[in-house]
Amino acid sequence: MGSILVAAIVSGSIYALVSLGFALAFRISSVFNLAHGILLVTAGYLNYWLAVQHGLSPWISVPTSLALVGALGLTIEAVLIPAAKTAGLKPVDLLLLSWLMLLIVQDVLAIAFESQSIYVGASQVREGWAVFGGRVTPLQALIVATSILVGAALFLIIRRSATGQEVLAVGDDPRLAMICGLNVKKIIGLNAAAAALLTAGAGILMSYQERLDPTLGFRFSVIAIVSTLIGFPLGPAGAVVGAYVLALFETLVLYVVDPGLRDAAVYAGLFLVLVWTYRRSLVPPEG
Amino acid sequence: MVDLTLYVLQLCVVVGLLALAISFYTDGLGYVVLHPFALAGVGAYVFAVLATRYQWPPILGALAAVSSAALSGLLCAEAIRSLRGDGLTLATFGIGVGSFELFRQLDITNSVFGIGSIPSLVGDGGRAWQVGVALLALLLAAGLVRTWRRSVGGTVVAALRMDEWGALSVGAPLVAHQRVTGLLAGAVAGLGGVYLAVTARFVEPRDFQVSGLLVPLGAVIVAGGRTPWGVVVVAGGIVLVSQGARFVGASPVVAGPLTEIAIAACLAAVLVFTRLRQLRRDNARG
Repeated sequence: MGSILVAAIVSGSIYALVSLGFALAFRISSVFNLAHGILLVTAGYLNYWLAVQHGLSPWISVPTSLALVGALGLTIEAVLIPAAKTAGLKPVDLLLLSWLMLLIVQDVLAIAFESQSIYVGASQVREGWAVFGGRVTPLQALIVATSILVGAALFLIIRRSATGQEVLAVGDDPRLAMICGLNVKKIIGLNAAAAALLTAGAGILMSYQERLDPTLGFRFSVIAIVSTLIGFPLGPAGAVVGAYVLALFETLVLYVVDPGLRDAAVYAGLFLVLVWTYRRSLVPPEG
Repeated sequence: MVDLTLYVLQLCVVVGLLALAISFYTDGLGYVVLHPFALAGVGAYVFAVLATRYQWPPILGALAAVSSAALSGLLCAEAIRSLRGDGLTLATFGIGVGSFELFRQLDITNSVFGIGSIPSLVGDGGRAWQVGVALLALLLAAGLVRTWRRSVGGTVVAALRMDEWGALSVGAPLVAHQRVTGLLAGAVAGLGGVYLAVTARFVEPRDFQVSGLLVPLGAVIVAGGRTPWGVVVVAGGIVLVSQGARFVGASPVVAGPLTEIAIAACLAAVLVFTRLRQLRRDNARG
């Protein structure tokens, strides 16, 4: 049981970082952006291209990847999505468009890297420390600490700071926020950049921890959506709780039911969480 | 070259049937669903298992497979009936990719290896038979869609699409029509699955990836609610264009992703253009 818990906490920490990014963006856009996962994969591949294929130091490759993917996320969340919403596109159109964007970026990465999976970490993995019957490597400990600290910081920023309150206000009603004198464009941009940086950071950390391949973007988009919806009542930072719950469910399926059904558990989770979250909220009553 | 043409024809039929299954929902109730590939998978695998493992006669196996897919469609409709909009689309995405993972893992579907040596419905009847079966499958499905759209049920469904609350207030049975739509969409998708199984004689989980929905979904969006034959013709057109790279002998490693990029980009452009045109029309009407 101890090892299951350790495995769930380690994978939940990666999920938490990705989900925090998605939850921040979702709080303002309310769009199920399936292209969110491509930020994670693109950051991982970009860091690999700079660090491994061009031999740059991680001190250069990591900030460069973060900056470029941050700009990509900013373009999607702060430019493309608001423009599409202003033009009158429906949420379901945006969902389909984000899926198409995911497929395009995934295929571009597949062509550029010949569909190869990548790994930036050391070939000799350190044994790590024994914790509750499982083993935790220093990198895994760093990932866990980062996600808990970032989650807690975000919770405090959203609840206590003026910027956090402004983000919530714009998420609730952008027009009212504009009338009240808030710089809505700046807040959307700031929020989008923070969301993209969190996801890109998760992608770079992941590329040092396990193998990444171009198709993983879709899986992480779904993970982020499920975690966000589970933790939705707790606000954007609730995604951290959602991520750990999902990771525990997934790890239980992995260890107790069948390892092959791990991904199916995530997708079943997507279906169940959506049915639960939106049950009878938008439809006419029967009878 | 003849075999390649036949393969493209078979692909047109499978895509056309899936487009008709999506059209039941999208042009009917107005829901965008992404699970018909899973229903096609149910049809294909039920037929393959019954025909190879239990030696059922092919015709009986095909009927059982289409019925199973229709029943699965009904169950899915029941599960998603309280959802609308992007939540509904995403939930059906969950069903689609979840089923794909199940096909990859279950022993009965022979996991990633798939099931081979599937008997043909018409034996080794030659190419003329294969073309005949293709046309028959399309005629059946398009006829079903056309009959449904012209029936009283189809009219009620159209009213529900235009104004759900208004149609309900005059007594339109929403739940019954959601169930019937699910059942019919499942049957047509199942027919597509059975057709794939009997013509390819081999089914594997890769045949039912959600990205495979790109072309059928594109056909439904481009056809924009026109007649069922319009949906089929557009589906066939997109398949022919997307398979064009194979005719000119391009490498499948690059041609596959490049084709997908081209289709996705075109579909995105068509989706935006169609929606904006619709909005302009609505605004002009006031």
